[in-house]
Amino acid sequence: MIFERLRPALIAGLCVLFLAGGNAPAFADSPSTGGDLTIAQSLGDRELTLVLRRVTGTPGPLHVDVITHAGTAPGRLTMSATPMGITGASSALPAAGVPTTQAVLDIGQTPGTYSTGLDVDRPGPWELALGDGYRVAHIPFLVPVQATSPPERAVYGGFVAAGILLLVSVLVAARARRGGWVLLPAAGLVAAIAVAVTGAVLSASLPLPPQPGSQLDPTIDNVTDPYARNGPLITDFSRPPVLLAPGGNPLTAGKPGELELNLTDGATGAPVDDLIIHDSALIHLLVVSPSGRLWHLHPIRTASGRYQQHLTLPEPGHYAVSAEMVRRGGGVQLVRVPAGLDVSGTGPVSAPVNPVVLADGATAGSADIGGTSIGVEVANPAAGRPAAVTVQVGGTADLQPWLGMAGHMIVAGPLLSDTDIGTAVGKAPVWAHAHSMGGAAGTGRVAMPPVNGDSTPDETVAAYGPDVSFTYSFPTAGRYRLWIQVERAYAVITIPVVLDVPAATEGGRR
Amino acid sequence: MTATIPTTRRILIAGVAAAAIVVIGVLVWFLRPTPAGPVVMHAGTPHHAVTATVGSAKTGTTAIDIDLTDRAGGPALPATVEIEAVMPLMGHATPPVTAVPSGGGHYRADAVPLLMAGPWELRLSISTADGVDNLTLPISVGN
Repeated sequence: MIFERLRPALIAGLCVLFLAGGNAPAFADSPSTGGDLTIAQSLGDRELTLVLRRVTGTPGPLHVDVITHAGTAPGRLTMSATPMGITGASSALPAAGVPTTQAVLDIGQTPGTYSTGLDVDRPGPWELALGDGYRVAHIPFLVPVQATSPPERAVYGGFVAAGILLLVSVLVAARARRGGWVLLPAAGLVAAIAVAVTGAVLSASLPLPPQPGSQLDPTIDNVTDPYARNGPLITDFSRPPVLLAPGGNPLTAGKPGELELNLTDGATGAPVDDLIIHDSALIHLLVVSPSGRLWHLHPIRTASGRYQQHLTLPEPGHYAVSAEMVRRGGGVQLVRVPAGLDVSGTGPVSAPVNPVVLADGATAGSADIGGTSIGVEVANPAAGRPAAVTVQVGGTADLQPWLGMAGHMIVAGPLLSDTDIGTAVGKAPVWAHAHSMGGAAGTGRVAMPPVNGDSTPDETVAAYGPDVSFTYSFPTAGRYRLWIQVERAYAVITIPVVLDVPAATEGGRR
Repeated sequence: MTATIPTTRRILIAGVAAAAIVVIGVLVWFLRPTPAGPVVMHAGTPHHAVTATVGSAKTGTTAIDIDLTDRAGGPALPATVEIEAVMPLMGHATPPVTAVPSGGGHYRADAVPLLMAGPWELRLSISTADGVDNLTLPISVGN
């Protein structure tokens, strides 16, 4: 029989395969369990940046960094974390809904990073309560789990089965009286390897399952196994728009007060409690004063669908208000408050805003803000054409990323009035928010690649600029107000600019 | 004429058939349709440990049972429990249904409407002398 003669070669071949298989590299890498979560919070008069470092396992530690800024008052912050997750399985852990871990953090005069730790005992949705003694911000966050995808399971299962069948093949080849028997486990071995290789090749290109947190309401169960399918397939997760109603007591110029923000669903009127972190905040609140000063704040969540911003507005008059946010399901929404905000009292109490004026054909200007020399330049401003706005902040590359970006540019216009800017911005057709990833225009380089897993550098990395550029197409001709924001030495610098955008001419087109 | 087939060949065929049966059995086990049983959700609020049992997470109306205890596992204070089914993706809201108490911290709503398949939220409001606890339970509704 031919099998009898081939048996030694077959055994030797299987042994070689077995040894080689022992050194085979793992084909499939698990998808990343996410990176650090950065959340900007305007807690009282303090502008804080919380960084929740990546949780690598539960139960385990949650490292919390609080980054303070120039002018942040020293004091004590309290923190606690509450599990909010729902599960179908019985658990020995205490039921969700009450805090399970607490910490206090004393922040000092020096701006920078202050750290503390919490313990998380389960994956899924959590809520971090951050208090300063007067108010408490309730911040939802997610503790992820490294989940194994079905193709990965096929890879591992396939290779395990292949290993076992390899042993069986060797045994059968060595022991069976008739060599033909070895074909049975050998065929299984080939099938198992085919399954494993197919899984390994497919695992990188298969679409991700619906993501708890950003697409689905998170529960412990769907965070633990996002691949479990229990419901119809969905491709569009978007939700109705948010309606924003300001509330609270009327504000008086020069006096601290609380601006309440009530968020309701545009279709049902129910409170909106599914905002997700977008550009490092739940809500980016923009307020423009009658004299043209901009506040870019990050209101705290006080209850379901309710946010609050502590404010001391210096001048009486009409302020323009808008907010940027993202609901679960995706899509950035700019919600403008049509009625704006009226502040009573007498004033003005604040120093006037001296913007860099780029009008009458001027395309460059300069200013000195808090001892930092600022240069502003605009190239090709024309209605409907992409214009490049570049600021130079100081002389060295020492800008820090704020809200994950090298720079932010708020654009409002065309403005009908040069004296009552708050009213004019409230009525302006354009209220935009452009981002800069750093670098001069056209260098073809993103200055901020991820450095820590999926995470971009945090604010402690002072390595960007001094040039920060934006490209924005002003849709119509007219006078625009620009506020360019960068961070340097833990202070956010707001550069106000007045820009006249001319109508496009044939000569202006290229 | 079975004698013409050698014994070893017959054993080989039987082995292959047995392996095939095992493979098919494993596939059937893993791909079997899961029965549409009740969906149990364990949750909690500042005052209560809550267990909600949705009779049938399918399109249509379903009974929902709510079991309340206090945080220590003891009996909860008498409560008024309201359930509102909301589908945020489609912007559907339904009138709240008041669950009827049957003693021992057990409450039952006989017919909560789940209008269509997809992700829904059951918004519970539990009012006691201690205050109102609100709780949102995400649930996936099948066809």
